[in-house]
Amino acid sequence: MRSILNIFVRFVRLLLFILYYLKELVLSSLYVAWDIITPTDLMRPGFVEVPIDLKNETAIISLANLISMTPGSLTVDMTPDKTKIYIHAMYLHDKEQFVKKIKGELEHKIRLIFE
Amino acid sequence: MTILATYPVLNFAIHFSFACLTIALFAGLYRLLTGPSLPDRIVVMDLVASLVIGLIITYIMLTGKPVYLNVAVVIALLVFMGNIAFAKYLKRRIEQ
Amino acid sequence: MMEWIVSILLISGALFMLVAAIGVVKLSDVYMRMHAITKAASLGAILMLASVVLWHPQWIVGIEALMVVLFVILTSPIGAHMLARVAYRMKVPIGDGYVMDELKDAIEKGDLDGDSENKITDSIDQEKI
Repeated sequence: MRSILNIFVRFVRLLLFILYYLKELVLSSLYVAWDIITPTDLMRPGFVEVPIDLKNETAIISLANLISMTPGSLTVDMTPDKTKIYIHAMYLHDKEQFVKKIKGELEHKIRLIFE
Repeated sequence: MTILATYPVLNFAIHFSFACLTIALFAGLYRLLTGPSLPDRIVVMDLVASLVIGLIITYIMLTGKPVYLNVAVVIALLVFMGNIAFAKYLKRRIEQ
Repeated sequence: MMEWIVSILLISGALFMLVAAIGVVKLSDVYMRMHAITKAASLGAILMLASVVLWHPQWIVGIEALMVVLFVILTSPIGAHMLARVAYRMKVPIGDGYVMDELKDAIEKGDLDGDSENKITDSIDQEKI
């Protein structure tokens, strides 16, 4: 009984995750469109290193896809032992805040589903 | 065209999106000709695939035959293969 | 009513694709152009497919449109990721105004050497030769 409930909770979380993914896609497209139309002087691009704690391969791939779909970030590289991920970001006014968003929001959501 | 004569707004939308996609194709052509490096040109290939999917969809709306959606499925698959093949090829070229 | 919805979806999808193409011309280096293509162009394709599904409400059209959406959503980030990685290894020059570059430091330190995927494919190639 408990395992069925567990599977159900996981399924609901997966559905919510898909909705979140679509929301991020729409938001990031609007951001990118706005950036392209307006002058690009405000951009502060850069490559950032973010440590990750996920173990599952599927979870890491989903995280990389989700990072590419969030506004202003694109996964570029990963260390062979899968502990650090390198991201190209468009707006790096505050590096701490950017890393906090990736670690706190996205990785937390992925961990709730896959682990 | 006879079907579309009863839908003037949709008719305008179809022709407007044809115009937008054509301008976008020319923009991609500019980047393809002047792109300073090889990855720039491969990126344009990705863009042109999306534009062709858009053109097929607009053509479906114009003719009213959704059979052509099969072509969009094939293109969406093939462009991914093309990207991966180009990435592998470039990787081997820098290793040598 | 349906005609208006379909028209708005079609026009907005085409405009998103146009914006992606303008971004490819305007932005300053390869990585930022990839930003424009992975996001704006895939959203444009999704909006246009939604207009087709609303205008031809049949099962087969819906299923095929869903297939295209899934392929585009799942594969375009992966393709952009592989291409960006190879482009950085090829030393494609980055544009102006970069505030930090931690990937360069990592490559110089040698953190990214010994890629397991590389080793597997290399051994397969050597066996065949």
